[in-house]
Amino acid sequence: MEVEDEDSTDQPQIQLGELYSSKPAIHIETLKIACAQLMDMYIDEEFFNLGREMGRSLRWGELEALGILNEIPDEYQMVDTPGADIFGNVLSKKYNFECECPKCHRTLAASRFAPHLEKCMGMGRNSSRIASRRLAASSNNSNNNNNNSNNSSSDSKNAVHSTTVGSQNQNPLNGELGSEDDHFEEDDDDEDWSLDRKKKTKKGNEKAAVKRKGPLSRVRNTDGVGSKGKRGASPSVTDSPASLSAMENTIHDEDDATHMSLP
Amino acid sequence: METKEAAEIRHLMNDVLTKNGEGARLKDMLTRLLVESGWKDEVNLMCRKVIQERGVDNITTDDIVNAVTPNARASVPAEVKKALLEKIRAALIKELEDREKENGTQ
Repeated sequence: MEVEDEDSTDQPQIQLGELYSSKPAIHIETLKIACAQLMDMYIDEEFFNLGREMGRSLRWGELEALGILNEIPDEYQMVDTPGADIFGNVLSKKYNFECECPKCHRTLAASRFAPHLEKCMGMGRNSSRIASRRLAASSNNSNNNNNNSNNSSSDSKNAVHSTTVGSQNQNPLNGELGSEDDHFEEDDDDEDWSLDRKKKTKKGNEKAAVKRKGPLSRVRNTDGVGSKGKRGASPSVTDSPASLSAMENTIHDEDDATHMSLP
Repeated sequence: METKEAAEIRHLMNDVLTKNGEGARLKDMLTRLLVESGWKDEVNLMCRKVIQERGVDNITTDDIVNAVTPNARASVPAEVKKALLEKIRAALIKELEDREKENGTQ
């Protein structure tokens, strides 16, 4: 493939200006043709280069080394038909899985599961979690207390009184409730101006709450705070106060400077 | 007549573009477009198929080029061609205007 540049020196130079003014109609066509030819020329040059590179890599054994020349068995060949993916599997709607919400036991589409769970558990940003938590706690407590009263012959009036927040602590062995409480206490450290906030001062009530709770409570409560909650660190499940204070000392929080020191 | 003129114009344009560096820019742009659009990989694939068919030891560069060129030319994406054509036209118009100015001042 040669680039045909040498001809231009043999022919007389053309004054483009002349041509432009003399025969405009025809000239535009020739200009178009010229452009198209130039374009073709450039493209030809491109794959001339490509062919040359290919030849080189062939000669130098690159293709063999890369395994490019090996035959791909038919079953592994790339499939390019419409309606199938690259492996040949037919595209289906099977991937819209359905899942069941653990809280409300509704079946949901997988793509809607996370937002639903946010609202359902009262954990998302816009889900007015305190209110919904209270509702959930109260309904849980009333359920639990009803169950308890059915099992043991306790006063049914307990069910009524159990709607206050403090009563949550009367069910220390209710794992689910305990964990919810932990979560929500972590959330408390976000800006949260509900009444509950005032009830629980940063260290006092939470520490007291921990003592009331018993062995299954998580370490997180005893941090004295939200320092972990804010950062989202996962609490380890240990109970020894020594390890607690050790951990506390290693956390350097500018925001929660008031909570830093543990007695 | 037209094609002869066209050929002349083409040669002239090529000279001009090479001289003022615009040609190099156009070629670089073309290379980039072809790679980005995947054309280069397609042609590579074609070349490899040809090599596999004919056998590694029996083939020469010319063979590859001759076998692959017609398909490769056809498979250049239309957008790439359009873009290149636009640029060439713009360069041509600019060149014509420059020449007119020169002729005018002369």
